[in-house]
Amino acid sequence: MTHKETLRYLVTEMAGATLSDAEWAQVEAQSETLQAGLQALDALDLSAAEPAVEFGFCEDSGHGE
Amino acid sequence: MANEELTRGTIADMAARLRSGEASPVDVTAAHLARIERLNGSLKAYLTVLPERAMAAARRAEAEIRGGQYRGPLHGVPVAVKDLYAIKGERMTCGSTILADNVADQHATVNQRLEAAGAVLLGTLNMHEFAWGGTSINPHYGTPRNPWDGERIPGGSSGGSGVATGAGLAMATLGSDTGGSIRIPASLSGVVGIKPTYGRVSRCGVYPLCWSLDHPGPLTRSVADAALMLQAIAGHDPNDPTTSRRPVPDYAQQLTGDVRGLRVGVPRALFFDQIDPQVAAAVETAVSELSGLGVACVDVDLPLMRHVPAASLTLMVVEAYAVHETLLRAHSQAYGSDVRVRLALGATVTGTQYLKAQRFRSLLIREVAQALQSVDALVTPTTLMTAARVDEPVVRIGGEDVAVAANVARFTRAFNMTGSPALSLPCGFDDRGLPIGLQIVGRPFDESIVLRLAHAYEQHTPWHQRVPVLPD
Repeated sequence: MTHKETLRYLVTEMAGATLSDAEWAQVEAQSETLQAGLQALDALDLSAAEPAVEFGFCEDSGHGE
Repeated sequence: MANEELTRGTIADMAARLRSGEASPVDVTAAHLARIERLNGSLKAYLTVLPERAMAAARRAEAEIRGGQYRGPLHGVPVAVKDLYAIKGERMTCGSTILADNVADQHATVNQRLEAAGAVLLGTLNMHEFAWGGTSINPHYGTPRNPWDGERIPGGSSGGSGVATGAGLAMATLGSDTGGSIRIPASLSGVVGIKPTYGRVSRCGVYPLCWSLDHPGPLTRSVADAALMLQAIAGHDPNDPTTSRRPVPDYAQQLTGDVRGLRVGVPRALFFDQIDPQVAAAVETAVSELSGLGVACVDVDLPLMRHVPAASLTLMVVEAYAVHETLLRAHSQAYGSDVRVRLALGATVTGTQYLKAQRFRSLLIREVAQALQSVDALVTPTTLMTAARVDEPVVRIGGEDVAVAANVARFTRAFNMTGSPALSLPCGFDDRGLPIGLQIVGRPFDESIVLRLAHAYEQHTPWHQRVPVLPD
């Protein structure tokens, strides 16, 4: 499955959304930009970074201390 | 007192008049309702006006003040809230026709607190659909218009909040900020807006866009008013477990005007690249003016900022898609095109990618915290441009095309990821008479320093004294 086909499957079949051709073009373009941006994060050393997913992180993570 | 006087000025000034009996909450509220009636057709700031509820609250406030039961500086002051703050029994659309008939079955905690402080709720304000966009262009209810030029956007997503505050349709408003949605309309509409620290203000009863990035906060016509509004709404809420139990300081008491000895950092790389030269010049002048007030201004380096666009977008599309999954499946054609596209993008991001963005977020929090060890605050432009025309999706800056919607949050969204308190206030006007915003960012829970710096700057510059010319 190509990247475009994967996008169509996820959006149409999994999310149940209907998009126009112009909107598909935007999703595809934005997805390419996003994938490139996320790949660029691989250049960083994320090994010591745990995800900041705990809501209320300001209170508990200590970064406000 | 003339109606015009009753709808201009600041809460700080009006509070003294209301307390002394020189002004009446009933007259002030009636003057605002009349102004809304006159101007809302063109400005499109309000989605729902609540005249009966407001006048009843104003009469109560008047009786209480006359009876010696003065509650404080918001008592009898008319305010309004973005149309995603639940007012029990009233319509709440979030700027979308999908929720056109939605009636709130609870009262947002911040609305409870505003009413407990004696404020009068005038109604709910127009916005970008579901708070997801920096322009407030709204295909369903019409686009709120910038009070400085009705052909231009007010910024978003809290566009109606910026317009109502700037145009005298409320003395203050509430907005919400997930990537800049308080600070952007504050910047483009020429008012003050503060996004407090994540956890400082309750999100209970506020329709979410992204749980980990959403920040409620006020838009006002002065920094002192921002302090008063924040004072009323801040603090722990048992109905929002993410709110902090830290004591809320007396913000107004911090507005001493003395900022000598404070240090601010200016992150020049990225924050001054490809921006409107007039914006850059105004911010550079503001930095010089802060220096003149005795603030040490130094350059700081925040190299991780270049990764913020991808990481921020990843967090936003995933969390927003999670919020909207059921609605999107049932009503995908009822969303505006821009929101539909972003929600669709959210359905395509993997869990691993979301967590990669959250791991990056940890690094970014650390980098900003390190920078704020050597300075008390950061100062940047709020937006890279002044208000674009409603029909102008792309503007020319430095000989290049810049997409407005994709770039208007370029300098604000990082500080939603870090949860930092961040404020925008006017720091000049461009040659078309459009306002320019200065962003001040502080350490977590250090709103006091942010407000103190902003207030000192405001009191030494003329920008807050300008008001837009509107038909009367």
